[in-house]
Amino acid sequence: MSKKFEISFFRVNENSLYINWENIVSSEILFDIRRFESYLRKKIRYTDISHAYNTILIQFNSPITDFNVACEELRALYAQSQDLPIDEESQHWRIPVCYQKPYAVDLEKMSIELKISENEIVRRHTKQVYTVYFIGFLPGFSYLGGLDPKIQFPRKSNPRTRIRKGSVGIGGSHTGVYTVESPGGWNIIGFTPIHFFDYSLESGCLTKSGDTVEFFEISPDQLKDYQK
Amino acid sequence: MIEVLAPGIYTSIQDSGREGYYSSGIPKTGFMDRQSAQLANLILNNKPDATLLELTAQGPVLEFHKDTHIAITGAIVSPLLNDKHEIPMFKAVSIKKGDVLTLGFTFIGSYTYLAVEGGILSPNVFGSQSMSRSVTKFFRLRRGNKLNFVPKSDDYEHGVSIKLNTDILLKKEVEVFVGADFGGLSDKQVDILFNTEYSVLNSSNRGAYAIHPLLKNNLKPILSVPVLPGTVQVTPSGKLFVLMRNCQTSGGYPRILQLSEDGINVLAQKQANSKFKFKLIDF
Repeated sequence: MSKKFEISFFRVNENSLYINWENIVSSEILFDIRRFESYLRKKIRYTDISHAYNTILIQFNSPITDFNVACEELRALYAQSQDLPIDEESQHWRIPVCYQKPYAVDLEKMSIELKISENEIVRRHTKQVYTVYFIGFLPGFSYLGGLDPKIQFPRKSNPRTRIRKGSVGIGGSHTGVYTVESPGGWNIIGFTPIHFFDYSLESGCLTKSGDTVEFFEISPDQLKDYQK
Repeated sequence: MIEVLAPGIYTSIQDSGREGYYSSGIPKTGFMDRQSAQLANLILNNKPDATLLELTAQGPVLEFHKDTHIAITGAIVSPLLNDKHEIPMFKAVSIKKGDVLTLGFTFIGSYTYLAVEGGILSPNVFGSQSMSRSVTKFFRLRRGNKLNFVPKSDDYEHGVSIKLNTDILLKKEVEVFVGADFGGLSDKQVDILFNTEYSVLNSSNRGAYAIHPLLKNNLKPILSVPVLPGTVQVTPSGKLFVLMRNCQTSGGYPRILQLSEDGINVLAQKQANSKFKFKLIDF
């Protein structure tokens, strides 16, 4: 039996509302959110439903006429969703990453400051299985949970103006892949040839909330093979 | 067909934006000032959200290779046809093959809309023709671009005719609802928020408007949450950002206010250094 959560509602604007869970990062909350969200997609009329760690945002296709009524209806749907399975299957992704220069621009500095060898940072980064909590920040950008605390490293105080698509970085307790070229403050430790944001995919995204990701090391020569 | 002889500073193809891709991290984008954009379409009897051109600061120079009708709304410019005839805004104007339209500079307001009878034809990407950095191949027009539009119909009847209306450009009050993290502000901070005259900073763009002065605060950091166009965020150092139409889908700064749809349209038209106040409204 899964854990029960208290949820609350907040009206955002004319058409939209938040549904809030407890203010923590938890895989149980993620499961509860995903289960409710997949049920909502079948039961209500909306233009967009999205979520982050502990919040669902519903954008309805018309103004909310009575917020209290809307909350009651959503609360009833939430109760019903508790007995349901999630009907979307999670996938596991194994992502090749080249952790060598010239891609791993910040690895040496991290190694010196963390007093951990570069190889050990790579070993710790590739041994975890990360959970995709949600997609946000950039198109197709996966918020990954599960970074080894030993290799957490603060964001740069002066973000770079241009980080190349495919760069793999660490920012605080997060790790992730830049899906498009972007400014950014994460420390870059490698590069992947895999496209996380891709026009040929129906959703535009390789990954989705609830998927799992692990990284494995490839050499610069293998990277060239992937890019052929 | 319309040929872009000069693209201007930032001219882009826009419609009402993307729906259904928020959970993929794809911005909504679309018309910055939706009200003015829809007005341009209504003048031509187009569908309200028909695809048009949006320009800011300095507009493009365009050559028309087919007869059509156009309407210009939003920020005030002084459009010239063939370098000599000034043409009116807020009114359907007949265009002949070979005409060259120079939009000029915006001098009141920030975003001008140029609608063409039937609407601009361009690739549909994730359910919308709106250009958006990182999402569409190009995020603004370039010299030499050739834009197709729906052919002129024989039985063209233009839509509403309206007086030049600058209300939305001159309005000093931006309507807001309380934001999800508003409750963490002190009474004094709330007082400051609604009694300060804010100005728009130069660094503002389609994704966010940075506004000044700073709001000192002691709000606790939050976990990343979904955010929307119109969400007002404050950083620990007190910088205020109003997210606009091309904003990212999630953010990690406290959300103190949320602009209404009207508030977004009004703020969109504020040029750098123009001043406004927030006006709290209820649902």
